[in-house]
Amino acid sequence: MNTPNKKSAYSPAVTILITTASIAAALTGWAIFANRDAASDAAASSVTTVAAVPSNSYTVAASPKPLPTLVPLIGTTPLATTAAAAPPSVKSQAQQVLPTVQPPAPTIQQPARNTNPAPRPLTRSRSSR
Amino acid sequence: MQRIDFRAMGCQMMAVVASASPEAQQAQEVQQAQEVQQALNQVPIWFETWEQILSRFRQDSELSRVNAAAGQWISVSQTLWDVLQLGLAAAEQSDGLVNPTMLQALEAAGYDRSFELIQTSFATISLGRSVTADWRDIGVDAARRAVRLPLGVRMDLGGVAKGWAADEAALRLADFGPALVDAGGDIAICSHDETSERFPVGVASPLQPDENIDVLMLANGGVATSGRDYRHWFRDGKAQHHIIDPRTSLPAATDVMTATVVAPTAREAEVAAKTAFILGSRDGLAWIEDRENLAALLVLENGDIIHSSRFIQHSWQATAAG
Repeated sequence: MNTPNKKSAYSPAVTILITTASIAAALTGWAIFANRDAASDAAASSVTTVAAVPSNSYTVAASPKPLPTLVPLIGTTPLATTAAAAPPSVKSQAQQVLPTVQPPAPTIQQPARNTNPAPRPLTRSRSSR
Repeated sequence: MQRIDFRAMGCQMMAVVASASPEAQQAQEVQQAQEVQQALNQVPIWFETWEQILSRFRQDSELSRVNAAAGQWISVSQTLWDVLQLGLAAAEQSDGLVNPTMLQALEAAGYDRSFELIQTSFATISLGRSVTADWRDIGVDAARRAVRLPLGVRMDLGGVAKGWAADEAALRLADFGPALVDAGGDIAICSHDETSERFPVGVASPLQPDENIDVLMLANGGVATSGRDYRHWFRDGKAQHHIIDPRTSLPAATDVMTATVVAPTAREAEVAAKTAFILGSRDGLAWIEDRENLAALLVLENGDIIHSSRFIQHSWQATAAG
């Protein structure tokens, strides 16, 4: 809604005073807000970095514990290789951990292979003959 | 462990009974051995009786008489009734991929006599394409234990009958100790003692028949393998095999050479192996994975070997390590 223009009820001197005070207050406020914004930017920046880590690997990224101690809980590929190859950045750690949340392939579910020789079968399953 | 070997249903058969327990063996060794041997001697007789009922190759079998009387209600024996029910259940479970009405298609592909005769026959008959009937059209009357086939339809209970026979024989023998019955590659294992030792059962390689791909350790259940590595022949210059795909009425076109399935019974393993074979490696393995009581190992045409996630649980490597 438009409002009609009105002439100021204040004299020029008062107007200058008020204007000066307003400018000062505005500058001070800007400085405060600017500092706050800078702080917010810094905070936002660090949050952004953490947020970039997928939720499934958040614990790994946030934890002070070394990565190799956590990976076995997730059940992933050998740790030594992962830890040695992982660069120190959070993003790289996330990339290393990501595959572990995928459904494990059948081969991972397989128990350890027995090194003993196979037993001699009593009989054999084969197509009908 | 006592054993008997014999031929029946066009296949090599074998039955084994292990000692029930060391204590029983010590206390009643001689008597028990005699009883086990008497039971084993009955096995070929059981199979002969069942073959006379269930064989499509014997003109005087009960199945042949039912096939010859399509369109009429025929009262059948308990054995034929039971196996027919299994055949119809298999059709239901496999969405019709394994069903008892494939006989005409099987004969059209050239499997019109026993496989021994096919191997020695030089007859040339043009490969025909037959029309198969809907298995749902088979009439069954439980109250009268009677069957009516649609006109023009004949049944083949082949694989289901063999799996059922292996299961039935193993169940009967289990009264004398843990038992294994091998019906031409379809194997049933039955033990009333859950702590009994497991039987080692090899999975034969279709590419190197003398070698095993794996050795399974089973105390109960069934194993069956379906494939085109053995029962195949050539007609009009084209390779034919005995597993018909009802969707085409022709020998299944599949990338699977053999499918081996472990299941609670041999008859279930037989049906599942055939289903996986017809579906091919991708859909077949998915079908197996969807059923938690099944495990499969497939050998593909290109020589690759793949297995379902549960197969390793039955391997000697898992049981020995676990």
